[in-house]
Amino acid sequence: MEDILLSAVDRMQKEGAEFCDARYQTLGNATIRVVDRSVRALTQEKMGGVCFRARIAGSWGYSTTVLLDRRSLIEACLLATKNARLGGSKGAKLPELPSVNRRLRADVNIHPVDVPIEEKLRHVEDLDAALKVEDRVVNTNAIYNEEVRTNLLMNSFGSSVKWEEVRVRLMAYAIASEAGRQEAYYEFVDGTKGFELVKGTDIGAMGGSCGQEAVKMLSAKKPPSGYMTCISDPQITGFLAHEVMGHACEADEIVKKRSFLTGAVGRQVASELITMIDDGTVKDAYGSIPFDDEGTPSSRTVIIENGVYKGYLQSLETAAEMGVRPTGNGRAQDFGRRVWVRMTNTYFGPGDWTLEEMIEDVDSGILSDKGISGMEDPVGGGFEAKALRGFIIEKGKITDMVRSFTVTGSALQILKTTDAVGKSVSLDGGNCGKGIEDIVPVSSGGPHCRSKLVVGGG
Amino acid sequence: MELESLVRTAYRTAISDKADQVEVFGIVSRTMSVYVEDSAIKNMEQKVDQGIAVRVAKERRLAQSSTSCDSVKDAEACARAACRLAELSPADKNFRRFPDGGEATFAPRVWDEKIASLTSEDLADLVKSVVDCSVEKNGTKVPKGMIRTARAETRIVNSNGVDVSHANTMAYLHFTAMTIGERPGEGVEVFYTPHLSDVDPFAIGKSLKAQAKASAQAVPFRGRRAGETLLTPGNLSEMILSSVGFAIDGENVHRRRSAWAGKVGQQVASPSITIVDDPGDERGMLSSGFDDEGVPTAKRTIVEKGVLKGYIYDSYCASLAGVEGSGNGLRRSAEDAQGIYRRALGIQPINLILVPGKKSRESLISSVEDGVLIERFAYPEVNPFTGAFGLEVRCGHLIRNGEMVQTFNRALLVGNMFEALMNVNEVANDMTVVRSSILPTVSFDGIELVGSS
Repeated sequence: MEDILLSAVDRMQKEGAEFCDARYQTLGNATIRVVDRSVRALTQEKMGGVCFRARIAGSWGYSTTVLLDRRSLIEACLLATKNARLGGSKGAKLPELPSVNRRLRADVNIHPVDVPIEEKLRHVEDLDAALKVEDRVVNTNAIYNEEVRTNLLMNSFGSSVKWEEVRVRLMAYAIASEAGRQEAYYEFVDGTKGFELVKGTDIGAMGGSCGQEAVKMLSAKKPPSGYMTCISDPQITGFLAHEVMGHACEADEIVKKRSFLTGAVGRQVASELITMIDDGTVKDAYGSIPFDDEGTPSSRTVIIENGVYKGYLQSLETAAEMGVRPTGNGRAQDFGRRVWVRMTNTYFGPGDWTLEEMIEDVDSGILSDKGISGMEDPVGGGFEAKALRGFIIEKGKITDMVRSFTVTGSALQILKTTDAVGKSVSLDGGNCGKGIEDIVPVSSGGPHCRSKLVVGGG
Repeated sequence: MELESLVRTAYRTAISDKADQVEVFGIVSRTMSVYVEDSAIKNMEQKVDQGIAVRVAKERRLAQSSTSCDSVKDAEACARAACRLAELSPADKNFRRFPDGGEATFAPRVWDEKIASLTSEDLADLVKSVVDCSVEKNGTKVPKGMIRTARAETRIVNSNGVDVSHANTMAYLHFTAMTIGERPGEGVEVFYTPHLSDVDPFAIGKSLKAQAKASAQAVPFRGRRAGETLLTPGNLSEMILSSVGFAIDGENVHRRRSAWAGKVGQQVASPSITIVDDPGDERGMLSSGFDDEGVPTAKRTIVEKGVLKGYIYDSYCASLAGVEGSGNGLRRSAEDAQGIYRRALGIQPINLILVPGKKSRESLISSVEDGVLIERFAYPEVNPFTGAFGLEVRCGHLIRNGEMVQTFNRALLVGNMFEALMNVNEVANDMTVVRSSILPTVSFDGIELVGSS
């Protein structure tokens, strides 16, 4: 395959590509899903294909194929250069970068492909069984997923990079029901780790706790609505980092002036308590990558430091447009999808408050507990995130549990009014789309943060 | 290697590996996508994809393997992997058999030769038309946009007599327009069709410009109100699919995850609400005479004048519930033809149609004394278990005495979709295809809007 990719790169250059690359990728997934003490899915997926990219005068031509014979591949690479000519974008020439020649295996202790299916199945069945803590738990679900991704990339800088990524995720969710009311609760662990992630998890405790919390939620009250003090937990804090501040600092949005953070470098955009980072090198985190899908090594980018905006996330192209170095954030869902600027592990840094101290100061407010989802708004800077549940705070004390609610507000307003930042930072993995597609693995997080938000739940 | 040979090879391999029952799903597709950035074509893509998914049963032990597929060797390896996994799986007492073959009673026209034979030059011209109609000098630009067209041919065979083929085309557009200036406003237009002639660049551009300009005038909503709320099809689709779509899923009903479990024959919505699933509707992105297990599909009434009439099933969950399958076992997608073989088979409506009323959207608005129309949420999702929602409004309009008087943003719309369906004022007739649904604007009563002070 290396020979063919090299020939294709050469051919695309001869056809007029100012920059080009060829990437062969394989994806292997295994999924086990156990529902109500019965195996509902035992599946294996394999996918392999090649993506050719050619850039001419600011436009890209792509051609991807799963047909891997030499003739199909050469035809595909010619299509890439032809497609690039149909574009109308103007753009800076990509500066010649030093070539990268590396070979990397995933840094895992127990490679998941070496673990027998029976052993994986046993853990998932145990997790499902542990969820059934009592009769009010009417539905139990335990899901294991592993992904092994191999990449071989060659480009017109002369780079030749081959690397492997391994991700494992174990998830439990339980539905509790009483008097016609249903509530759901979930727990998960994940990372760029091997099967040691599962072996190191106390399956019984994870399942038991998840089942019990689902039952507790049956007595959760309707959440309040209005503008109020909210202490966001690390997941909701992470959604603010990722969805609003993170997507808006992806430099493709900056280059076309679609982001509310365009021209923000050097400006005070948040309280001095706030520092925000994107770091693709965090060991074991779900969004970590050794290289992005352009072959640039991943890196740590400080986005906000003590409230001052520092910089953006870059691909090869946006870095050329803005005259800076690429940060290793050019990512694609797979070989069949385009590369554009994406986050890796995005989080707010720690402060010096304990959660107890934050709660003590609140006369009336709400504490969120676990996230469901968030949505980006690079144009308007609006923040929206859904919490799985929360707790009412009255006169410095936690009182009632409330069910799912949404928090919203202007991201910059929230960050400027943040008056307490917690000591402890945690990251949670997930899958991020840009718009509604192009899904890549990421993580986000931060500490507990206290600010003013609009809260509402049905 | 032709898809037919790959499907047959996988089938024979699984049978020779002593599978009791075998199902092979194969798909070959060609996709073209054009991405626009800053009102110019940025990326032009062409993609060739081909793959299979093999499901096998060995003494009620079930497993699936899927692969992108270029050769006989790939097909054989995929079938063997499925057989090996099945041997390791515990027996499933709920499994009976893969579906039996049957005749389709209709064949909706969802193949458009214009899309099938489209060249990249043709597609670039279409994109330029949409951009030209959306751009206004010193007024609006198109920061990003995308058109994807695809043609796909699907083949399904199983050891119980299923032997079907299906071919379809699709065009999916997603464009944004933005006003130029200090406080930009943004409009979003999403369009789905199996037929290229339905794409009207002028109408798309006109809507984008109007949305962006209105959005630029938006002011943050203050205070709170509860009253008449009009939800447009682009928002309502996801809200209905994530609540009603989840509640009528036969597996969710069986596992007591559905809020509508045990409610057949009961009033679950206002009498003005009738919902059908119609796989024969030629406007629909997923329409077909067969589902992705090869089961013949049929038009089904889900809710009639507010009364729940039934649920939808794939063959496994029909067996679980002890009922006939409804032909709703799907892998296909309304937005994409790539990687479909990788998707797990799941229960989905094919075309969930909310039957229209008699009034146009404009006529509905003119009859509102005091209400709001929501044009765009951050994302219109609903808690599928409870129906609860709290949705950030990115662009809404206050309506007074039949006129839209002010555009607003920065508000939360708070309510419960299952309760909202019981409080419908009126249904309009502006039917719009959104993903796997076709529906109009609907006016609801009693949903709360919460602002920032």
